[in-house]
Amino acid sequence: MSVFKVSHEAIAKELADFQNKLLSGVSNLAAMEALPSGVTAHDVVFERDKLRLLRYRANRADKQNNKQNQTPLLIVYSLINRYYMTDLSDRRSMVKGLLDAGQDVYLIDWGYPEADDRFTTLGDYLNGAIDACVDDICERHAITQVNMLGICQGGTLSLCYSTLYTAKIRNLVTVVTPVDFHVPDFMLSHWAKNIDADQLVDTLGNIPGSMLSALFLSLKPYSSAKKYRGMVDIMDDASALKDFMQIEKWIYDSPDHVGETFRQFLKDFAQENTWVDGPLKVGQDVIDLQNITMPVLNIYAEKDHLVPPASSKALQGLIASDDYSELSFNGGHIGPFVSGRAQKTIPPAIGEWLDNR
Amino acid sequence: MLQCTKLHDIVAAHNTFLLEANMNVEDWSEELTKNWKQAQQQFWKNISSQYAAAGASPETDFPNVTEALNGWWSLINPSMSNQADATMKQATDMGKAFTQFAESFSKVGGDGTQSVESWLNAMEQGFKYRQSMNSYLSTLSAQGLESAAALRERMAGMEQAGESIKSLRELYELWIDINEEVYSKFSMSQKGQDIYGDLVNACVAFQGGMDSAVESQLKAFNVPTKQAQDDLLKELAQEKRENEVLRKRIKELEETAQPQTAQPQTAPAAKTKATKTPLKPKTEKVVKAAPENNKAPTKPGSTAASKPAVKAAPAPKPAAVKPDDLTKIKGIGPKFQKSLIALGIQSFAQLANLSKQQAQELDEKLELNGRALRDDWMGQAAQLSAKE
Repeated sequence: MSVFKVSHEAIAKELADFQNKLLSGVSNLAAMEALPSGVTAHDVVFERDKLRLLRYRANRADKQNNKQNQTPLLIVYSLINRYYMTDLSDRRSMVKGLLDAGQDVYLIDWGYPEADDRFTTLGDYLNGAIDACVDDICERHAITQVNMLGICQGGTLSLCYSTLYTAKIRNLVTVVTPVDFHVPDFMLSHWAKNIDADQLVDTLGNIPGSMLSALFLSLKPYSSAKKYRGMVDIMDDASALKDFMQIEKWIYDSPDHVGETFRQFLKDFAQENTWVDGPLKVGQDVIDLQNITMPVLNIYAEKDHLVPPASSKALQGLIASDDYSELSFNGGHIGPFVSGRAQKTIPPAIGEWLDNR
Repeated sequence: MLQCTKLHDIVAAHNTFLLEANMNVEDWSEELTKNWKQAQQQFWKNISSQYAAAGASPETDFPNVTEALNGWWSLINPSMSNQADATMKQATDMGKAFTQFAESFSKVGGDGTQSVESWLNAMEQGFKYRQSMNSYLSTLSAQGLESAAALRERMAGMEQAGESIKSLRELYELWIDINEEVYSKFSMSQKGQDIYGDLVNACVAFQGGMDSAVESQLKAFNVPTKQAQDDLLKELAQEKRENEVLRKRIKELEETAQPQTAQPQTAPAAKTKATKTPLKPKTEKVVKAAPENNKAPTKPGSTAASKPAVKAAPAPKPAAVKPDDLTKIKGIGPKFQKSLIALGIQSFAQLANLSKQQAQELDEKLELNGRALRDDWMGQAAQLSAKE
C-alpha cells in the first residue's frame, strides 16, 4: 500500500533511535531509589486494626494567622488501590493543594486487608471505621461536623455515610465517584452483570488485589503497549521517569478487597444498581440518597473510562440538597490527581467552595 | 536386609548392593524385581488402610513412580533389545498415568462411590473451564481478524484522502488504537458480557471444586479446614461489630457523666433516620476553577448554617488551691507544669474539670499538637484527684 511511506532505512533509523533511548534510559531506571508512598508530612492520629487516620501538617504560618478552615476535611479514599494517589510528589499532590488552599486535611489509610477481615461488611466500614474517624476528628477539634471528600469508591462510601450521619457532615465533595452503575459505556458494570457474586466471594474470600489490577488493566489492554512505548521517550529524563514510575508503583500496589463488602458492591451496586431505583439496605440501615441535604460538590473527569461522567453526574437527580455544584476536569480517571494542570485548578476550587460554606 | 519405606530408595540401595556384592546382571535384576514387587505391594496396602481409617496420617509421601521405574529399568535394561526398551517406556508412561489416576481417588477420601463422584465433579469443572477459556480465546482471534480488516480499511481511507503514515511508530500506534476500538466494541456487546461472565464463573467453580477436594482430605486427617477457619472469622467479625457498639455506648455514658462544673459538651450528632423531602428544583451551579494566579477568595458564608463557632471560653481563674505535683501526669514534665501554672492551672482538680473546649484551647496555646487529649491529661488528673 502506498499509504505506508517509510523506507527500510527510515525504519532501521527509527529502531536504532528506539534502542539508543532505551539503553541510555536504563541507567536512570537502575539508579532509581525506592519510591515513597506519599510525600507530605503527616501524623498518624488514630489507629484501629489496619486503619490509620492521617493528619497532614499544615503550613505553620496559615495556622498561626488563623487562615485555616476551622472545619477539618476528611478524605475517604477507595478500598481499591492506595491512598497516596492523592500525594504522589511535590508537584502532584491534591493533599498539598488542599493544605495550600487553607484546609485542615485528614485522610483514611485503609491498610492491606488480610484473611481476618474477610467478613467485614459495608455496614462495618460505615458505622465502624468511618464513623470512628469522624468522631475522633470532632473530639480533637471540639466540633460536631466535618467536611468530607470521597474519591471513587470512597465517594460511594462517603455518600452512604452521609445518608446515615447527615448531621455530622457539613459539606460533601465527591471526586470521580460512581453513582449510577447502569449508564451506557460503564464497562465494569457491563462485565459484572453475569458474574455469580456469591460463588466468587464464597470461593475466594477476599478478592485478590492482583485480580483487581488485572481487571482494571483489561479495560484497555492494548493501551499498555502505547504507554510503555511512551516511557522509552522519557527514560533519559530522570525526573519525568520518576513521575512515571510513581504511577506505575501505585497501579500495581493493589490491596485485596474485603470479601463481604465486595459481595455487596458487586450485587447491590454494579449488578442491581439498587440505590438509584430505591433505598438500599446495608445491615440494619437504609441508604436513601434523598437524605443527602448538605451542600455537595461533584467533581468528574470528562474522559474517564473507568467511571463514565454520566455515572457521576447522575448524583444531581438523586439527592435532596439544594446546594449542588459540579466541576469537570478534561482528563481521565486519575487526571485530577496526576495532572499538573489539575493541581493548579481543582484543590483551590475545592478550598474556595468549602470556605464559602 | 533392605529396610526401606520409599520405592526409589530401593533402586539406590540395589545400586550400592550391586557394587558391593559384585553380582552378575541376571542375578541382581531378579533380586531387584522381587524386592520391587514386594515394596509396591506393601506401599499400596499401607495407603489404602490409612485412607480407610479416619484420622490416620500417611507415613510416606507418594513416590515418584516414573523416576523409580526409570531408575529400575535403567539398571536392568543394558542387556535388553531396543524393542524391549521402547515397549518398557510405553509401559512406564502408562504406569505413571495409572498411578496418578489412583492418586486422584486416594486424595479425595471417603468411600469408593464418593471418591468417584468427587473426581468426576472436579473433572467436569476443569473441562467446563477449558471450554469457557477456549470460547474467550476464540473471540480474541476473531477480534484480531476484525482489527486487521479495520486497519486495511483505515489505510484505504487514508490513501483516498491523500494521507500517509510517515513512521513505524505512527503505524504501531494506529494498530494499537484499532485493536483497542475493536476490543472495546466487543467487550460492551451482549456476547462479550456473556463470555466474560461465563469465563469468570467457570474459573471460580473450578477453583472451588479443587478447594473442596483439598477440604475433604484435610478433614480426613483432622487438619483445620477453610470452612472451619471461615466460621471462626465470621464470629470474629461479629465480636468486632459488638465491640464497636459498646465503644460508642461507653463514650455516650462518659459524656453524660462529665462533672457539673465543666462547660456543656457538644454532643456528637446521632444518626438520623430517613425522612423523604420533596425534590426542589435545583439550579445547576458550575464551579469555575480558580484562575492560576489568584488566591481563592474567602467569603463569609451566606447560606443558612454558619460555620460552627468554636467560642473562646474564659481561661480558668487561678483558684486559691493547694498546688499539686502535675508532673505525676504522664506527658507533663517540669516545663509544661510551669506553663500550666502560668495559665492558672495548679491542681489535678482544675485540670480534670476542664471542658473539651478549654482543653482544646490549652492544647493550641501550649502547642501540644493534641497531646493533652491523646495522653488524656484530664482523665489522669481526675484519677489522681480522686486518690487525694
